[in-house]
Amino acid sequence: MDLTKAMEISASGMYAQGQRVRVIAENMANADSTAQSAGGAPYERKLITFKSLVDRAQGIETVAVKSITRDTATPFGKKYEPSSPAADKEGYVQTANVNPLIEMTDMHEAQRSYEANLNLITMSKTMIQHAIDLLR
Amino acid sequence: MIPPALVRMTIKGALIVTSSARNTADRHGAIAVDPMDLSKLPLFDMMQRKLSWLSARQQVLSQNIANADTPGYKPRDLKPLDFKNMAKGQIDPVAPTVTNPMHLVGFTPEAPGTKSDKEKHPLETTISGNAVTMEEELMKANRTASDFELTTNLYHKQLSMIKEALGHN
Repeated sequence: MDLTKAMEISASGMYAQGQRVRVIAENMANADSTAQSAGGAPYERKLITFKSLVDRAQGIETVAVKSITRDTATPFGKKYEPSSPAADKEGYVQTANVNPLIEMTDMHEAQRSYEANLNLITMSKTMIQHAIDLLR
Repeated sequence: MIPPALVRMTIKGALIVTSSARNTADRHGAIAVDPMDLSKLPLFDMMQRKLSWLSARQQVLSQNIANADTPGYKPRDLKPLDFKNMAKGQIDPVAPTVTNPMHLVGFTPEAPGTKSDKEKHPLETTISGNAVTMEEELMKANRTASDFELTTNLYHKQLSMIKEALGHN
């Protein structure tokens, strides 16, 4: 039945957005994770990408996580902290390349998509209920 | 209170009527006279088609929303259901019959009007190539849901009218 398939698709979307929020939470939690030693690398921000997955048996196109990669394009930050064990000769410590503003925006987008999928599940459920109500 | 014997006779009569009607029905899909089959009534048939079209559309819209953040994804939609063609009487998809176990099954064509097409002129496309506009899709989904409700309500009303005529209410 098409409507149950619709619910399945929306559920896959919710799962994918949940994974996205998990990655964002990892980034936010490690926003202040600096290098452990002088010359060491701090926490590297993670990126998540999606792909559409064709389920040929059911003839539907769900969504799935394609990959979770490290963000190598954004440069690390620098903080002046000469007393830190991870400080270099000039007294600077390398900080994670996490920008809380970007993460928050990303999180809001994920939340919005999650809600949209949830709304669609509710809608499909109401439609099924209307079809069942024909029996009355 | 109706005597049970009479009920049995009536049921038997109805069964005979329906089975004979089925036997005389034209194989080529002309108007059948089976009174118990609601889908043979044009109105009910149209409503059934509309309902299946709406649920197919809901599935397509769910796909669009689920893939709202997939790079390169283009939204899809169904062709609008044409009542003019429906009234003319569309032929349901015909599957080839297998008369020998060595035959390949082949594929059954999709029901008319439930094939989804990529949208040719999306409102906006992001840098990643995704062209899904959440607001548009949600509006379409809302419309689909309310149309579904309308059609089921109509179905219910028609059915209760028939029941009223039968005197079962």
